[in-house]
Amino acid sequence: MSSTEIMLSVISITLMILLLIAGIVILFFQSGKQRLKQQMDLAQNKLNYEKELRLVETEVSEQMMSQFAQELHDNIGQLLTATHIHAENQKLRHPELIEGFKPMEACLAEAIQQLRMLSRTLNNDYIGRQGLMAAIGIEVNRIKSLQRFQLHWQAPSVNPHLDKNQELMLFRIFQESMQNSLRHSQAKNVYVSAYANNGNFEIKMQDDGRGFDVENILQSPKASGLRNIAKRAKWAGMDCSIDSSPGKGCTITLKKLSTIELLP
Amino acid sequence: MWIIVNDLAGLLIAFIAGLYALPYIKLYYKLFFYLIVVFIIIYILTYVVLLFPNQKSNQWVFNLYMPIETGFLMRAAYQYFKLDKRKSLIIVGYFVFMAVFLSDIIVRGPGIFANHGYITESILLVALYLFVLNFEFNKEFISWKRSPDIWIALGIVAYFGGAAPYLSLMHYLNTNHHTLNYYLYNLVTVGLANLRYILLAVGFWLIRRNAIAKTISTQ
Repeated sequence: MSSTEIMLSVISITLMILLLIAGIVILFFQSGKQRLKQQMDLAQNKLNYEKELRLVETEVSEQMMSQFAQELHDNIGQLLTATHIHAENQKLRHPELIEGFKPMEACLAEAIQQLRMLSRTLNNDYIGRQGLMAAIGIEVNRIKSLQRFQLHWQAPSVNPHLDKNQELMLFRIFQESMQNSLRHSQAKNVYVSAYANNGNFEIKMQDDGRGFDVENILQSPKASGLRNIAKRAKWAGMDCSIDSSPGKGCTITLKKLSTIELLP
Repeated sequence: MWIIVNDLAGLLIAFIAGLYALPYIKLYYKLFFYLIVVFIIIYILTYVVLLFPNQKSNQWVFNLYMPIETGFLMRAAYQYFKLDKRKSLIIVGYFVFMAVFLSDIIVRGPGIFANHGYITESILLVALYLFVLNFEFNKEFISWKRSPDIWIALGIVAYFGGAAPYLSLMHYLNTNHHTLNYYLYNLVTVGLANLRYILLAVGFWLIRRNAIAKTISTQ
């Protein structure tokens, strides 16, 4: 073999090997890209499925609550009203018993009032029509009337700029938080404040109760309420923080940032 | 002088880039940097040995370097695949290479370039770093342009894949076609070595760049 032939052979074999390697690398690159695309599609599908599931879950739960509110209003409410009318009739028939009926009448009026408020706050149509702040106002009044703690409510003409779904989620979080304060906190004071500015919205619920270890509680099976709060906040696209430690009360803060602030 | 510059241009660029990136690099990349240092010493040795009157060939120096280079690059690959259960295959690969290399040395003597050993080294390293490339291309959320591993592996694959045909004939050419051997050495080996080390330099530069960007973003 002449030198030129050897040289050409070596160079052509080298180039062929390099081309083969380039081909393999391009193949790896393409298949990697394709695999990643498939994974992303799969993740997107999973996300869409979870979104749908969440929507159905929320709709079912809200429908059940509305139905429950309707039943309370139509059945129990009617029964209480009938009892009230019956008491009025008895008073007319027996004027000497008027004084004796007074405590019962007061209790009945209170029960009817409480029932009306409860039925409104359970009904999502009412929240949708009246808005979040009005619904929270009704719930605050209802809780105040229970006289379990001092409830301080501060929301100077706040317009939260939330969509209907977010308002509903936020209201349920507020209810859950108040239930927690009522049932577990042993608080003397509960402070609820809302603040809105430039598309941002923040609502804070704070109590001076016995507090708890957030990490421990969240890991225990008991904390379904707290987990619900976090879950609903995530669904509403809000930032939720739960701060508490034993003896130091509990503060739940929910924040919705405007799109401008979310940008880096 | 020009020959040395031509031989060492890529290597020196990689060495400087490696020095800059050294504070930010982990063991896997450090092995590539140490290999550069070893190669610079070996390169000097290839010239020094020829200064001795009874030394006509420096091929034994390349034979000395071959198991070191293979060891470093396989150790780096082992480090890369440290979480993979199949990583012990790399050790098996090194033993296969050593068996071929040693049989070459025993049969032909240490003064002749162990081209069978070299072909084994090339095949093993090309296969191993093609796996690295495949692994990198399948990583999520990483742009291939910013992955130092991709550039480094590309350099290694191109060098060992491309230089194998020439280096397997090197001893034959050196004996029978000395001028052609010199020409091909500069064209193929030096050309591909420069490509390999420039891509390694790109890898080192990316490591430094990524590390600085990460530091800034976490501040």
